[in-house]
Amino acid sequence: MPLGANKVALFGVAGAVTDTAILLSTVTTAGAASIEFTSGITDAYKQYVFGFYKVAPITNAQSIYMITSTDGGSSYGVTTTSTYFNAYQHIIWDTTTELAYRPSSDLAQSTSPQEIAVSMAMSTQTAGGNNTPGANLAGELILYNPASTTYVKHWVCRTSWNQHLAAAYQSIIAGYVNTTTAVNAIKFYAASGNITGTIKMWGIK
Amino acid sequence: MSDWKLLNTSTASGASSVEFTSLTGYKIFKFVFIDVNPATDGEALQFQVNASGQTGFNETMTTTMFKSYHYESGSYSGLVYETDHDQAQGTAYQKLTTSIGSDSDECGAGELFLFNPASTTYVKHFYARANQYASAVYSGDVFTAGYINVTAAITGIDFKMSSGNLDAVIKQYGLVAT
Repeated sequence: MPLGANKVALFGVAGAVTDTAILLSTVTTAGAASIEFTSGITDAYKQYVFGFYKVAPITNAQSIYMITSTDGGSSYGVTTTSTYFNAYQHIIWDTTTELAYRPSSDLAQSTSPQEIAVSMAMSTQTAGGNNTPGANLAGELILYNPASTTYVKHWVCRTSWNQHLAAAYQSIIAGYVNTTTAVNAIKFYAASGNITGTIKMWGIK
Repeated sequence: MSDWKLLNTSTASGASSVEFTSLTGYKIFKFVFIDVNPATDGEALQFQVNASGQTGFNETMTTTMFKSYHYESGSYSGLVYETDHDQAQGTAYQKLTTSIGSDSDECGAGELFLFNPASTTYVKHFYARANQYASAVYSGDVFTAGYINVTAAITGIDFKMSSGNLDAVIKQYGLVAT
Protein backbone atom coordinates (compact mmCIF):
# COMPACT_ATOMS: atom_id res chain seq x y z
CA MET A 1 0.00 0.00 0.00
CA PRO A 2 1.37 3.42 -0.86
CA LEU A 3 2.64 5.08 2.30
CA GLY A 4 3.11 8.65 1.10
CA ALA A 5 3.71 11.18 3.83
CA ASN A 6 2.68 8.67 6.47
CA LYS A 7 6.02 6.94 6.14
CA VAL A 8 7.57 9.65 8.28
CA ALA A 9 5.18 8.98 11.13
CA LEU A 10 5.43 5.26 10.73
CA PHE A 11 9.14 4.82 10.29
CA GLY A 12 10.73 8.02 11.45
CA VAL A 13 12.76 8.87 8.37
CA ALA A 14 11.80 11.70 6.09
CA GLY A 15 12.51 11.73 2.41
CA ALA A 16 14.13 8.32 2.17
CA VAL A 17 13.87 7.39 -1.47
CA THR A 18 15.13 4.11 -2.82
CA ASP A 19 13.60 4.24 -6.29
CA THR A 20 12.45 0.65 -6.04
CA ALA A 21 8.88 1.60 -6.96
CA ILE A 22 8.63 3.64 -10.14
CA LEU A 23 5.43 5.57 -10.67
CA LEU A 24 4.58 4.90 -14.30
CA SER A 25 1.16 6.43 -14.71
CA THR A 26 -1.59 8.26 -12.84
CA VAL A 27 -5.11 8.45 -14.22
CA THR A 28 -7.62 10.74 -12.55
CA THR A 29 -11.13 11.24 -13.78
CA ALA A 30 -14.28 12.92 -12.51
CA GLY A 31 -16.34 10.73 -14.80
CA ALA A 32 -15.14 8.45 -17.59
CA ALA A 33 -16.27 5.18 -19.10
CA SER A 34 -13.12 3.53 -17.76
CA ILE A 35 -9.67 4.00 -16.31
CA GLU A 36 -7.33 2.21 -18.64
CA PHE A 37 -3.59 1.47 -18.79
CA THR A 38 -2.58 0.54 -22.32
CA SER A 39 1.11 1.35 -22.18
CA GLY A 40 3.89 0.80 -19.72
CA ILE A 41 3.05 -2.81 -18.85
CA THR A 42 6.14 -4.46 -20.27
CA ASP A 43 8.98 -6.79 -19.31
CA ALA A 44 10.70 -3.88 -17.56
CA TYR A 45 9.27 -4.95 -14.19
CA LYS A 46 8.26 -8.24 -12.64
CA GLN A 47 5.63 -6.63 -10.42
CA TYR A 48 3.10 -3.95 -11.20
CA VAL A 49 1.07 -2.32 -8.43
CA PHE A 50 -2.19 -0.48 -9.10
CA GLY A 51 -3.25 1.81 -6.25
CA PHE A 52 -6.92 2.83 -5.99
CA TYR A 53 -7.82 6.21 -4.52
CA LYS A 54 -11.37 7.56 -4.06
CA VAL A 55 -12.65 5.30 -6.83
CA ALA A 56 -16.44 5.15 -7.17
CA PRO A 57 -19.17 4.60 -9.71
CA ILE A 58 -21.07 7.64 -10.92
CA THR A 59 -24.26 5.58 -10.80
CA ASN A 60 -25.34 4.19 -7.45
CA ALA A 61 -25.17 0.47 -6.58
CA GLN A 62 -22.79 -0.59 -9.33
CA SER A 63 -19.96 -3.09 -9.30
CA ILE A 64 -16.40 -2.06 -10.13
CA TYR A 65 -14.67 -4.35 -12.63
CA MET A 66 -11.13 -5.20 -13.67
CA ILE A 67 -10.30 -6.82 -17.00
CA THR A 68 -7.05 -7.54 -18.87
CA SER A 69 -5.83 -7.50 -22.45
CA THR A 70 -3.03 -9.10 -24.45
CA ASP A 71 -3.28 -6.74 -27.41
CA GLY A 72 -2.65 -3.38 -25.83
CA GLY A 73 -6.30 -2.75 -25.10
CA SER A 74 -7.67 -3.32 -28.58
CA SER A 75 -9.79 -6.01 -26.99
CA TYR A 76 -10.35 -7.10 -23.41
CA GLY A 77 -11.21 -10.42 -21.82
CA VAL A 78 -8.47 -13.01 -21.27
CA THR A 79 -9.32 -16.37 -19.72
CA THR A 80 -9.08 -16.04 -15.94
CA THR A 81 -9.72 -18.22 -12.89
CA SER A 82 -10.14 -16.36 -9.62
CA THR A 83 -11.31 -16.37 -6.01
CA TYR A 84 -13.27 -13.77 -4.05
CA PHE A 85 -14.14 -13.51 -0.38
CA ASN A 86 -15.19 -10.57 1.68
CA ALA A 87 -16.00 -9.27 5.12
CA TYR A 88 -18.69 -6.71 5.69
CA GLN A 89 -20.67 -4.80 8.24
CA HIS A 90 -24.01 -3.20 7.45
CA ILE A 91 -24.32 -0.37 9.91
CA ILE A 92 -27.95 0.62 9.33
CA TRP A 93 -29.92 -1.59 6.96
CA ASP A 94 -29.83 -5.01 8.62
CA THR A 95 -26.83 -4.53 10.97
CA THR A 96 -25.32 -7.82 9.87
CA THR A 97 -21.68 -8.82 9.66
CA GLU A 98 -20.11 -11.65 7.73
CA LEU A 99 -16.88 -13.22 6.51
CA ALA A 100 -17.61 -15.45 3.55
CA TYR A 101 -16.54 -16.72 0.17
CA ARG A 102 -18.62 -15.11 -2.57
CA PRO A 103 -19.15 -17.61 -5.40
CA SER A 104 -21.06 -15.18 -7.57
CA SER A 105 -17.99 -12.94 -7.88
CA ASP A 106 -15.30 -15.45 -8.83
CA LEU A 107 -14.33 -16.62 -12.31
CA ALA A 108 -13.75 -20.13 -13.68
CA GLN A 109 -11.90 -20.01 -17.00
CA SER A 110 -13.93 -16.99 -17.93
CA THR A 111 -13.24 -14.02 -20.17
CA SER A 112 -15.72 -11.92 -18.21
CA PRO A 113 -14.54 -8.98 -16.10
CA GLN A 114 -13.52 -9.53 -12.49
CA GLU A 115 -15.48 -7.72 -9.78
CA ILE A 116 -13.33 -5.88 -7.25
CA ALA A 117 -16.37 -4.35 -5.50
CA VAL A 118 -20.04 -5.30 -5.66
CA SER A 119 -23.05 -2.99 -5.65
CA MET A 120 -20.94 -0.07 -4.54
CA ALA A 121 -22.22 3.32 -3.42
CA MET A 122 -21.72 6.32 -5.64
CA SER A 123 -19.65 9.08 -4.08
CA THR A 124 -22.42 11.66 -4.31
CA GLN A 125 -24.94 9.99 -2.05
CA THR A 126 -26.75 12.54 0.07
CA ALA A 127 -26.78 12.32 3.84
CA GLY A 128 -29.42 10.28 5.62
CA GLY A 129 -31.02 6.89 5.43
CA ASN A 130 -28.71 4.15 4.18
CA ASN A 131 -26.46 6.62 2.41
CA THR A 132 -22.75 7.35 2.82
CA PRO A 133 -21.75 10.77 1.49
CA GLY A 134 -18.21 10.62 0.16
CA ALA A 135 -18.34 6.89 -0.45
CA ASN A 136 -15.37 5.48 -2.35
CA LEU A 137 -13.02 2.53 -2.78
CA ALA A 138 -9.36 2.23 -1.75
CA GLY A 139 -6.96 -0.62 -2.20
CA GLU A 140 -4.39 -2.15 -4.46
CA LEU A 141 -3.87 -4.84 -7.04
CA ILE A 142 -0.50 -6.53 -7.68
CA LEU A 143 0.10 -8.14 -11.06
CA TYR A 144 3.08 -10.49 -11.24
CA ASN A 145 5.30 -10.71 -14.31
CA PRO A 146 2.65 -9.83 -16.88
CA ALA A 147 5.19 -9.97 -19.72
CA SER A 148 5.96 -13.64 -19.18
CA THR A 149 5.55 -15.79 -22.26
CA THR A 150 6.09 -18.94 -20.19
CA TYR A 151 3.75 -18.77 -17.22
CA VAL A 152 0.20 -17.79 -16.30
CA LYS A 153 -0.04 -14.35 -14.70
CA HIS A 154 -0.97 -14.24 -11.03
CA TRP A 155 -2.58 -11.23 -9.43
CA VAL A 156 -3.79 -10.42 -5.92
CA CYS A 157 -6.07 -7.60 -4.85
CA ARG A 158 -7.55 -6.19 -1.66
CA THR A 159 -10.09 -3.39 -1.51
CA SER A 160 -12.01 -1.51 1.17
CA TRP A 161 -15.18 0.20 -0.05
CA ASN A 162 -18.64 1.46 0.74
CA GLN A 163 -21.56 -0.69 -0.28
CA HIS A 164 -24.60 1.29 -1.39
CA LEU A 165 -26.60 0.50 1.76
CA ALA A 166 -24.33 2.08 4.37
CA ALA A 167 -21.89 -0.75 4.80
CA ALA A 168 -18.16 -1.27 5.13
CA TYR A 169 -16.83 -4.02 2.88
CA GLN A 170 -13.39 -5.44 2.33
CA SER A 171 -12.85 -7.76 -0.60
CA ILE A 172 -9.95 -10.21 -0.91
CA ILE A 173 -9.56 -11.27 -4.52
CA ALA A 174 -6.91 -13.17 -6.45
CA GLY A 175 -6.44 -15.32 -9.50
CA TYR A 176 -4.44 -15.97 -12.62
CA VAL A 177 -4.81 -14.86 -16.18
CA ASN A 178 -4.54 -18.24 -17.84
CA THR A 179 -2.40 -17.40 -20.81
CA THR A 180 1.25 -17.60 -21.81
CA THR A 181 0.83 -14.51 -23.96
CA ALA A 182 2.03 -11.30 -22.37
CA VAL A 183 -0.63 -9.21 -20.64
CA ASN A 184 -0.04 -5.59 -21.63
CA ALA A 185 -3.16 -3.63 -20.74
CA ILE A 186 -5.70 -3.44 -17.94
CA LYS A 187 -8.97 -1.61 -17.53
CA PHE A 188 -11.15 -0.66 -14.56
CA TYR A 189 -14.77 0.39 -15.01
CA ALA A 190 -18.25 0.37 -13.50
CA ALA A 191 -20.91 -2.15 -14.41
CA SER A 192 -23.12 0.68 -15.62
CA GLY A 193 -22.36 4.35 -16.03
CA ASN A 194 -19.04 6.08 -15.59
CA ILE A 195 -16.31 5.75 -13.01
CA THR A 196 -14.60 8.44 -10.96
CA GLY A 197 -11.35 8.52 -8.99
CA THR A 198 -7.62 8.03 -9.32
CA ILE A 199 -5.66 4.89 -10.11
CA LYS A 200 -1.86 4.88 -10.08
CA MET A 201 0.37 2.29 -11.67
CA TRP A 202 3.86 1.50 -10.35
CA GLY A 203 6.53 -0.80 -11.66
CA ILE A 204 8.52 -2.50 -8.91
CA LYS A 205 12.18 -3.28 -9.46
CA MET B 1 5.87 3.24 -2.69
CA SER B 2 9.50 4.29 -2.69
CA ASP B 3 10.28 2.97 0.73
CA TRP B 4 11.24 -0.58 -0.10
CA LYS B 5 14.89 -1.01 -1.03
CA LEU B 6 15.72 -3.93 -3.28
CA LEU B 7 18.52 -5.80 -1.52
CA ASN B 8 18.91 -9.03 -3.45
CA THR B 9 17.45 -10.86 -6.42
CA SER B 10 17.92 -14.61 -6.76
CA THR B 11 16.96 -16.36 -9.97
CA ALA B 12 16.71 -20.08 -9.40
CA SER B 13 16.72 -22.60 -12.22
CA GLY B 14 16.45 -26.17 -11.07
CA ALA B 15 17.76 -25.19 -7.64
CA SER B 16 17.21 -27.16 -4.47
CA SER B 17 16.80 -24.01 -2.37
CA VAL B 18 17.23 -20.24 -2.28
CA GLU B 19 18.90 -18.75 0.77
CA PHE B 20 19.30 -15.18 2.00
CA THR B 21 21.84 -14.53 4.74
CA SER B 22 21.65 -10.77 5.26
CA LEU B 23 18.81 -9.91 7.63
CA THR B 24 20.07 -6.81 9.41
CA GLY B 25 19.71 -3.07 8.84
CA TYR B 26 15.91 -3.00 8.47
CA LYS B 27 12.95 -3.53 10.76
CA ILE B 28 10.83 -5.15 8.04
CA PHE B 29 11.91 -7.41 5.21
CA LYS B 30 9.78 -8.43 2.27
CA PHE B 31 10.48 -11.43 0.08
CA VAL B 32 8.65 -11.49 -3.24
CA PHE B 33 8.52 -14.78 -5.10
CA ILE B 34 7.56 -14.85 -8.75
CA ASP B 35 7.07 -17.63 -11.29
CA VAL B 36 7.66 -20.38 -8.75
CA ASN B 37 7.56 -23.58 -10.80
CA PRO B 38 8.33 -26.85 -9.00
CA ALA B 39 10.12 -29.71 -10.71
CA THR B 40 7.72 -32.10 -8.99
CA ASP B 41 3.98 -31.70 -9.46
CA GLY B 42 1.93 -30.63 -6.48
CA GLU B 43 4.71 -29.49 -4.19
CA ALA B 44 4.55 -26.44 -1.94
CA LEU B 45 6.88 -23.49 -1.60
CA GLN B 46 8.04 -23.31 2.00
CA PHE B 47 10.55 -21.52 4.20
CA GLN B 48 12.52 -21.87 7.42
CA VAL B 49 15.02 -19.68 9.25
CA ASN B 50 18.22 -20.04 11.22
CA ALA B 51 18.75 -18.18 14.47
CA SER B 52 22.02 -16.84 15.76
CA GLY B 53 24.00 -19.49 17.60
CA GLN B 54 21.98 -22.31 16.09
CA THR B 55 22.67 -24.79 13.30
CA GLY B 56 20.41 -25.40 10.34
CA PHE B 57 16.98 -24.15 9.27
CA ASN B 58 14.84 -25.59 12.02
CA GLU B 59 13.58 -22.90 14.38
CA THR B 60 10.40 -23.37 16.39
CA MET B 61 7.26 -21.81 14.87
CA THR B 62 3.58 -21.52 15.61
CA THR B 63 1.62 -20.66 12.49
CA THR B 64 -1.76 -20.41 10.78
CA MET B 65 -2.83 -20.86 7.19
CA PHE B 66 -6.10 -20.35 5.34
CA LYS B 67 -6.95 -20.45 1.68
CA SER B 68 -9.53 -19.24 -0.76
CA TYR B 69 -9.86 -21.57 -3.75
CA HIS B 70 -11.78 -21.99 -6.98
CA TYR B 71 -11.42 -24.78 -9.50
CA GLU B 72 -11.15 -24.05 -13.21
CA SER B 73 -14.09 -26.42 -13.67
CA GLY B 74 -16.17 -24.16 -11.46
CA SER B 75 -17.22 -27.21 -9.46
CA TYR B 76 -15.60 -26.30 -6.16
CA SER B 77 -14.81 -23.10 -4.33
CA GLY B 78 -14.53 -21.90 -0.78
CA LEU B 79 -12.61 -20.44 2.12
CA VAL B 80 -10.93 -22.97 4.41
CA TYR B 81 -8.47 -23.20 7.27
CA GLU B 82 -5.57 -25.47 6.30
CA THR B 83 -5.11 -27.69 9.33
CA ASP B 84 -2.56 -29.82 7.51
CA HIS B 85 -0.25 -26.90 6.85
CA ASP B 86 -0.06 -25.01 10.14
CA GLN B 87 2.43 -25.68 12.93
CA ALA B 88 2.16 -25.70 16.72
CA GLN B 89 5.68 -25.26 18.04
CA GLY B 90 6.97 -27.16 15.05
CA THR B 91 10.42 -26.99 13.53
CA ALA B 92 9.50 -27.99 9.99
CA TYR B 93 9.66 -25.72 6.97
CA GLN B 94 6.50 -23.61 6.87
CA LYS B 95 4.48 -23.86 3.67
CA LEU B 96 3.55 -20.66 1.85
CA THR B 97 1.44 -22.43 -0.79
CA THR B 98 -0.22 -25.81 -0.80
CA SER B 99 0.42 -27.55 -4.13
CA ILE B 100 1.78 -25.77 -7.19
CA GLY B 101 1.49 -27.47 -10.56
CA SER B 102 4.63 -28.37 -12.46
CA ASP B 103 3.37 -28.02 -16.03
CA SER B 104 5.37 -25.60 -18.12
CA ASP B 105 2.92 -22.71 -17.66
CA GLU B 106 1.98 -23.38 -14.01
CA CYS B 107 3.47 -21.42 -11.12
CA GLY B 108 2.88 -19.50 -7.93
CA ALA B 109 3.61 -15.92 -6.87
CA GLY B 110 3.36 -13.88 -3.71
CA GLU B 111 5.16 -12.16 -0.87
CA LEU B 112 6.36 -12.82 2.66
CA PHE B 113 6.89 -10.10 5.28
CA LEU B 114 9.29 -10.78 8.17
CA PHE B 115 9.26 -8.34 11.06
CA ASN B 116 12.33 -7.27 13.00
CA PRO B 117 14.39 -10.45 12.60
CA ALA B 118 17.37 -8.84 14.37
CA SER B 119 15.48 -8.48 17.65
CA THR B 120 17.08 -10.23 20.60
CA THR B 121 14.06 -9.48 22.80
CA TYR B 122 10.95 -10.60 20.96
CA VAL B 123 9.64 -13.50 18.93
CA LYS B 124 9.64 -12.81 15.18
CA HIS B 125 6.32 -12.41 13.40
CA PHE B 126 5.69 -12.97 9.70
CA TYR B 127 2.81 -13.05 7.28
CA ALA B 128 2.47 -14.00 3.65
CA ARG B 129 0.04 -14.08 0.78
CA ALA B 130 0.52 -16.15 -2.35
CA ASN B 131 -1.58 -17.17 -5.29
CA GLN B 132 -1.01 -20.55 -6.88
CA TYR B 133 -1.94 -22.46 -9.97
CA ALA B 134 -2.58 -25.67 -8.08
CA SER B 135 -1.75 -29.09 -9.45
CA ALA B 136 -5.41 -29.98 -9.00
CA VAL B 137 -6.19 -27.17 -11.47
CA TYR B 138 -7.53 -24.42 -9.29
CA SER B 139 -6.62 -20.91 -8.25
CA GLY B 140 -5.62 -20.79 -4.59
CA ASP B 141 -5.15 -17.57 -2.63
CA VAL B 142 -3.09 -18.69 0.39
CA PHE B 143 -2.63 -16.65 3.59
CA THR B 144 0.02 -17.72 6.08
CA ALA B 145 1.15 -16.06 9.30
CA GLY B 146 2.80 -16.87 12.57
CA TYR B 147 5.76 -16.28 14.79
CA ILE B 148 9.19 -17.81 15.06
CA ASN B 149 9.39 -18.54 18.74
CA VAL B 150 12.94 -17.49 19.44
CA THR B 151 14.43 -14.36 20.96
CA ALA B 152 17.78 -14.83 19.22
CA ALA B 153 18.30 -12.84 16.04
CA ILE B 154 17.39 -14.52 12.76
CA THR B 155 20.47 -14.70 10.56
CA GLY B 156 19.24 -16.60 7.52
CA ILE B 157 16.12 -17.62 5.64
CA ASP B 158 15.78 -20.50 3.22
CA PHE B 159 13.12 -21.18 0.58
CA LYS B 160 12.60 -24.54 -1.07
CA MET B 161 9.88 -26.82 -2.36
CA SER B 162 8.40 -29.50 -0.11
CA SER B 163 10.09 -31.96 -2.46
CA GLY B 164 12.26 -31.56 -5.52
CA ASN B 165 13.81 -28.52 -7.15
CA LEU B 166 12.36 -25.23 -8.28
CA ASP B 167 12.55 -22.46 -10.81
CA ALA B 168 11.76 -19.04 -9.37
CA VAL B 169 12.72 -15.43 -8.99
CA ILE B 170 12.89 -14.39 -5.34
CA LYS B 171 13.57 -10.79 -4.38
CA GLN B 172 14.52 -9.46 -0.95
CA TYR B 173 13.55 -5.92 0.08
CA GLY B 174 14.14 -3.90 3.22
CA LEU B 175 11.79 -1.19 4.35
CA VAL B 176 13.59 2.09 4.78
CA ALA B 177 14.57 2.81 7.48
CA THR B 178 15.64 0.87 10.48
